[in-house]
Amino acid sequence: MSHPSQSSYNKSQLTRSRTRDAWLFLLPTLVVLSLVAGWPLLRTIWFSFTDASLSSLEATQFVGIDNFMYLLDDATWRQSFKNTLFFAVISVSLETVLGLLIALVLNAHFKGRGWLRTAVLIPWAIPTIVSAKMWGWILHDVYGVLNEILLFFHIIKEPLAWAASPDLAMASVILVDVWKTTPFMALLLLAGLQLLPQECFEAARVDGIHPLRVFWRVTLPLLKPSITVAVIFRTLDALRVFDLIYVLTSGSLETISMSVYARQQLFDFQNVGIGSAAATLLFFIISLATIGFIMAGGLKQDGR
Amino acid sequence: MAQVIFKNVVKSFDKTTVIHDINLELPNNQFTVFVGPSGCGKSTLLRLIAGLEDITGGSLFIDGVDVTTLPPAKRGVAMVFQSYALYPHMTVYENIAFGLRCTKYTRDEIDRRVLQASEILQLNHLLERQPKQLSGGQRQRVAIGRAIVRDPKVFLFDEPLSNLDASLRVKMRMQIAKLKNDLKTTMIYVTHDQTEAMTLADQIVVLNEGAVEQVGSPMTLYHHPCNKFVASFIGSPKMNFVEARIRSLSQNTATLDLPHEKSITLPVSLPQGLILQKDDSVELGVRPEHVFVVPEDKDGLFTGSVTLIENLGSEIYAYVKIGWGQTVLVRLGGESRVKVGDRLALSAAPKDCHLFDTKGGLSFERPPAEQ
Repeated sequence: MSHPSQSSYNKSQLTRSRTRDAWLFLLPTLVVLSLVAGWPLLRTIWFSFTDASLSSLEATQFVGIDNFMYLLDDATWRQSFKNTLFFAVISVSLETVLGLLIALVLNAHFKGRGWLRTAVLIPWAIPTIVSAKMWGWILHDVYGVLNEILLFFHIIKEPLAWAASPDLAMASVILVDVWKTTPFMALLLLAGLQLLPQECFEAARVDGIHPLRVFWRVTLPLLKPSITVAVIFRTLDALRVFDLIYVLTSGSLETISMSVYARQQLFDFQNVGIGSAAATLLFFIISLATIGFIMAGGLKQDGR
Repeated sequence: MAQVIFKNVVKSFDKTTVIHDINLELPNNQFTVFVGPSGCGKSTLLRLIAGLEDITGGSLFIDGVDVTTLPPAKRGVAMVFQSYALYPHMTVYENIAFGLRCTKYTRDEIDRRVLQASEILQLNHLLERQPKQLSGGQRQRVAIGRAIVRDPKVFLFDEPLSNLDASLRVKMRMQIAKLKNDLKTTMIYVTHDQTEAMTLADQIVVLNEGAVEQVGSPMTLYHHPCNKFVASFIGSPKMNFVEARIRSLSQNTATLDLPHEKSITLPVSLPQGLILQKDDSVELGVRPEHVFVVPEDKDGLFTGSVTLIENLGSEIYAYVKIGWGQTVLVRLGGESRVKVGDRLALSAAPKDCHLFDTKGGLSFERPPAEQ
């Protein structure tokens, strides 16, 4: 300690060895990630600039941005883009509002709260394929239980083709997504609610402030960071929606999403070039959305 | 301006009873302090007054009105929380005004009240700041300001100074004392710090394990603690307790055997239900500041050698090991030159001595004269 230069030398020595250890621990993850995520991503981006087809991946030619021009020109892709945005905005909005309501209820003190918290999570715990299939049967135009119930109460006169009818398909998809993901939203917001300082709410109670006013002026502003994170999570998730739409309304133009479109090009039409371009475009749209959210939400690293 | 009365108040959380049958009268326009160790129920008692907790049994009156089942807002109380409970996203002005908005007040009236409160608390230059830009003391002043503007019948303070550092705490204590003189309202203050209790209170309620141990003015509690718990809780450093044995009893006095064949004769009276007999073992209580050094061994109550010295500059505390394996703490002047290992003879005036029952800890002291 008597020689400052000596001690700073030792310190940097220590820092360096710690940095080296950290990289050593990260190395396996980095290797695996670059193999399973990095390599396919780069390959997809490369394919998006070629005319590769599924039958002849070897004999491909560089075609520049032709594939992207094709996409922007393709009515189906434009439809998938619109569908995806519509789906993301509507379903995430509904999920946020419903999730917040459920979170507020679950945050209150009542008997059986633990049970209810678990029960609410069930839809989220079911794999999407399973719930999509399940809802496919519920919404079935001939055998579906939903039509049965609505007919019984005379709400509708004749059975509706929920998943197949062009007017109802998107609504059905959103309904199922809301059913499935609202619990997740509620859980994220509940975690946020439980971190809020209780004294603020007690102070408001003693001061006799109306509960609705407390919600708008205290709960909501304080919960904003949690809501922002939850909305970002869900939006990014919704933008790449695939399985639900693929299973519930396979092939319908009314509900086709960007992911479904990419898969269709890749496998049904065997256009690896165009499919890759669609996937790459989706990747950039999602990246852009993330950056936009972070900038708009003012989400700093400390989570404020 | 209001009197707060507890009548047989009981509070249980599930099966645990934390407040046992409390009967209390907190006088109008007085500063009452609830004091006790952690977990004694003092904060719960305050929260019962605020209405933040439901009363399990008994009833509570504020200003003559039974408020047992009234919601907090209808009780006319304002509360200052230990953690300040400021709304982090609002400015100081908004924080203070928030409780007034959407009430019957006009915008001008709200403005007038906020400015008046910030005047009292010297917050004028901070009104546009957010809580995170304030120091702990400033935040606590904002929290107090929020209570003042509501012009409550009863002020409730829940350990308002315990999150502040020592020097700031002394400063804020003075501010609260000043506030007490300016507002002249019923104030109820919870603390575990007996210094705060002694300096601020008109009346102290000492609580232990959910029950009242003693109620009285700071000086009554200091000079006439009714039991060993109160005696050891009030006063710092705490009272010495020395084992003793009854040698003889007369009408109003008891003579005690002390270690090293010393003895002392004290005036006593017997609280209800207590009997005192020859050879009973009792505890003699005497505060460190009431113990003094005597030159001759034969004049002292205790003799022993110094085992530890704590020098605070203005005063010195010496731990003296007396017989029967006991230690007595004595306060000496700052100029004292006592060293560890020195032999000291100590004494105390009988009027400064207290006598306690060994089992229940009750005091055998005469009840204090009415003031």
